[in-house]
Amino acid sequence: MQAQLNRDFSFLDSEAFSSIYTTPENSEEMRFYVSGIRCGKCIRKLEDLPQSLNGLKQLRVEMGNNIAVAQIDKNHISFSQVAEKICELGFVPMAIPTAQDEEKIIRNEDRTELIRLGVAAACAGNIMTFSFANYLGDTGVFKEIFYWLSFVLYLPVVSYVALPFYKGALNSLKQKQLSIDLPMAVASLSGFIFSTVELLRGHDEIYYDSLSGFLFLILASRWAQKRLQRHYLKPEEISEGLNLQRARLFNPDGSWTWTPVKNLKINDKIALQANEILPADASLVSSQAHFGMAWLSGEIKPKHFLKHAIVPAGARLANGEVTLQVMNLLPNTNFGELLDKVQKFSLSQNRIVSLADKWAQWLLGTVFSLAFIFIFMYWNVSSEEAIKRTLALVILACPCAMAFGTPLAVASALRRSKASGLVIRSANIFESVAKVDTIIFDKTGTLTDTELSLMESAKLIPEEIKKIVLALENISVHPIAFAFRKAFNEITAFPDVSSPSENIGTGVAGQIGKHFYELKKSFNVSKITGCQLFKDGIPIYEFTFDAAIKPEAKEIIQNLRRSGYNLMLVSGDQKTAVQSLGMKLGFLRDEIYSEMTPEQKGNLINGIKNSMMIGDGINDSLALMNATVGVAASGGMEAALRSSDVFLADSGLKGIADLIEISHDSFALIKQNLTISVIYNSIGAVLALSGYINPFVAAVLMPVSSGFILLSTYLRGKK
Amino acid sequence: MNILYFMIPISLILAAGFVTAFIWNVRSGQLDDVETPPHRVLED
Repeated sequence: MQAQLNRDFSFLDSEAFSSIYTTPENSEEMRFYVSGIRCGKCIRKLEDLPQSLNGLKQLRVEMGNNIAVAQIDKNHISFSQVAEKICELGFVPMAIPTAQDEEKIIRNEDRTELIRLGVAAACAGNIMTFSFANYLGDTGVFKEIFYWLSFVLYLPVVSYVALPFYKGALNSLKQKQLSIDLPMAVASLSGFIFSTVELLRGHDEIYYDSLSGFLFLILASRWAQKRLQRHYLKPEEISEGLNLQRARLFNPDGSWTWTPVKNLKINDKIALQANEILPADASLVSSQAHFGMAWLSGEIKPKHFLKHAIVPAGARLANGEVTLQVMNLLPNTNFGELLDKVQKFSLSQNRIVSLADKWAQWLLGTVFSLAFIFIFMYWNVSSEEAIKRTLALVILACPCAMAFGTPLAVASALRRSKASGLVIRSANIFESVAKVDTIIFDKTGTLTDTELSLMESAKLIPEEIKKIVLALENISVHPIAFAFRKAFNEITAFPDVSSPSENIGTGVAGQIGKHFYELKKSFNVSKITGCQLFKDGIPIYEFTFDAAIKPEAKEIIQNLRRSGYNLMLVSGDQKTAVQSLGMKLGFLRDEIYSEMTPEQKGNLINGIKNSMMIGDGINDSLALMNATVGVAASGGMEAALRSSDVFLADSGLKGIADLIEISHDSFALIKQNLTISVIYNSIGAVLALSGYINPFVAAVLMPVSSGFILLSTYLRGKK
Repeated sequence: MNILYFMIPISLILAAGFVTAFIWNVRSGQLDDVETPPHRVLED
C-alpha cells in the first residue's frame, strides 16, 4: 500500500525534527529517501536542481540506495522548500534520520576491507615486478637486492593484509571447527618463514610473490562476493514504517503540532487522520473508530473500536479523524519490535553457509592430516623439500574453488529470483527448497485475494444502480467500497449526493435527487459478506462479496501434484468454505484442514519434514517459521521477511514454480562444482606431494581452477 | 645499470604515495557509491 502523498513538509524546519534529520556538525545537510530514481535522466533532473533553486547548494544522488543528499544555505532556503521542489519534479521524498550506529560500523568495515585490498594489490604487484626480473634470469648484486625488496614488501602483507585470515583461523580453532581461513593463515605465515629462511641461506626457493598474489586474489574474491550478496539480498522497498516518524501532538490549547514520534510520551494525546498508521499503542478518546489491521493480523475487514479500547500500534485508520491517548511507546510495541527487526535485518550480513561448507571442512581436515603426515615422514629425506611440497599442497588444496563455486551458484540463483519477482531473505534457502517434498497452502491471501471482490457480474447490473452505488460509496474507504469501485471501474460520472453519510459499521447513505438511498451491510447464514441497496426504505438490490480465487492457483496446484509433491490446504476459516474451495482447486478431502488456529497450524507443520509453507506473512507467521521453507504470499514485506524465507512480491503464485526450478538448478550446479573441485584437488595433491608442483606453480594453478569453476557456472547459468 | 639505484627508491616512494592517496580516497567516502557516477557521466 502506498502512503498517501502528504505534501506538508513544514515539519522538517521545526526545531524538534532538525535533531533527528541533521547532525549537529552539519545542520545544513539532510538526506532524503527518494523513490522513483531509475535512470540517468532522473539523476540529472535532481542534481541540476541547485541551478534553479537559490539556496540549494548541492543535491547529490546515491542511486544504489535511492538516496538524495541535500546541502542548503539556511539563510536562503529551508528543507521543506527543497522537499516540495523534489515533489514537483515527480519524486516522492522522505526525510531519513541521520545514519544509525550500525550503518556507520558497517560502512567503516567496508572501507577497511577496501583499503586492505588496495594495500594487498600494491604490495603483490610491486613484489612481482621485482621477482619477474629474477625469473628472467638476472644475477649478481641486483638479484640479492630484488629478493630483499620482495621481503620488505611482503612485511605489510604478512602482518596487515593477512590479518582477517589469522583472526578467522583462531576463531574457528576456538570453536573446534575447520574453516577456510586456516589454510590461508598457515600458508601466509609458514610461507613467509620458509622463504625468509631460504633468503638468509642464499637459496632460491623464495615465494613472496606467489603468496602475496594468492592472498590478494582471495581477498578480492571475498570482497566481490560480499558486494554481490548485498546487492541481491537487499529489499528494494523501503519500509513504510519510515513514515512513522511524526505524529500530530495536541497542545494544551487544543491545536496540534507535528512532533517526532520519538518525542511522544505516555498519556500524550494525538490526532490521527484517515489512512494513517498509529505510531504507538493508544487508547481511543473519540467515541469510536475503525482501524484496518492488515499489518498486524492480515484481516481484510476493519476492526471496530469503541472509546477507551486500546488500539495497537501499526493499525491503520479507515476513515475520519480520531483522537487517541498514547499508552505504550513504539519501541515497546509488537509493531515497533517488528520494524526494528526488519531494520536490523536489512543491515545485517548474511554468510552463505551450505553443503559446500561441510565438504570444505572435510577437505581441510584431509589436507592438514596429509600435510602433517608427509612432513613427518619426509623430514629425514630432505626437510627443505618436505616444507616446500607441503606448502604447495596447502596452497593448491585451499578449498577456495569450493568457496567460490557455491556463492557464485547462489548469486546466480539470487539474480534469477529477483528477475522472477521473488524477494529472498537468506541465500541458504535454495538448498532447502531443492529437498522439499511436501507443500502446504494457506487459504486467505495465498490462494485467494486479500481484497473483497463483488461476486455478481457487473455486466448484469443496471447502470443506474451502479451509479447510485458509486455515488454513495464515494466518501468511503471501506473494503466494500473498494470492491465496488473495482467492479464498476468503467463508470466515470455519477450523480451528486446531498448529505452523504457513512455509518461506520453499517453502511453508507445519502439523498440523490428526490430519493433517500442506503447501502447497508447484511449478514446471511453462511457468513458471506453482503449488502443491500435501499431506496426510501425498500430493498431494491442485493450484492455479495468474497475474496476471489487467484486465477493461477488451480494450474499451480495441478503442476505441483504432477511433479510428485504432497499437498495440503490449511486454513483458519470455517469448514464448508475451505472444503469447497479446496475441492475446486484439486485438493483431496483428507488433504484439507479447516478451522485451525495459528497454534494448531504451527504444530501441524512441525510434524512434517522437508515442508514448504505458503501463507500470509503476518497471521501465518508461526506456521511459516516452523516450516523448513516459509514462503509469504501476502501480508506486506516487513512481516514476511520476519517470519519467512521468501516473499512472493511481484511474482504471485507462479513464483513458487520458479523458486523450485531455480533451487533445483542451483543445487545441481553446486554439486557439480564440488565434484570438479574434489577431483582437481586430489590430482593436485598427488602432484604436489610428489614434487612436481612447487608453491609458485600452485599459486598460479589456484586462480586457474577458480576460473574454471567460474566458467562452468557461467556457462550453465546461461541456459 | 647504476640508474637502478636511483629508480628503485623513486618507484617505491611513488607506490607509497599512491597507496596513501588510495587510503585517503576510501576514508573520505568517495568510493562508497559506485553505481551513480557511471550514470552521471552519461547524462553530461
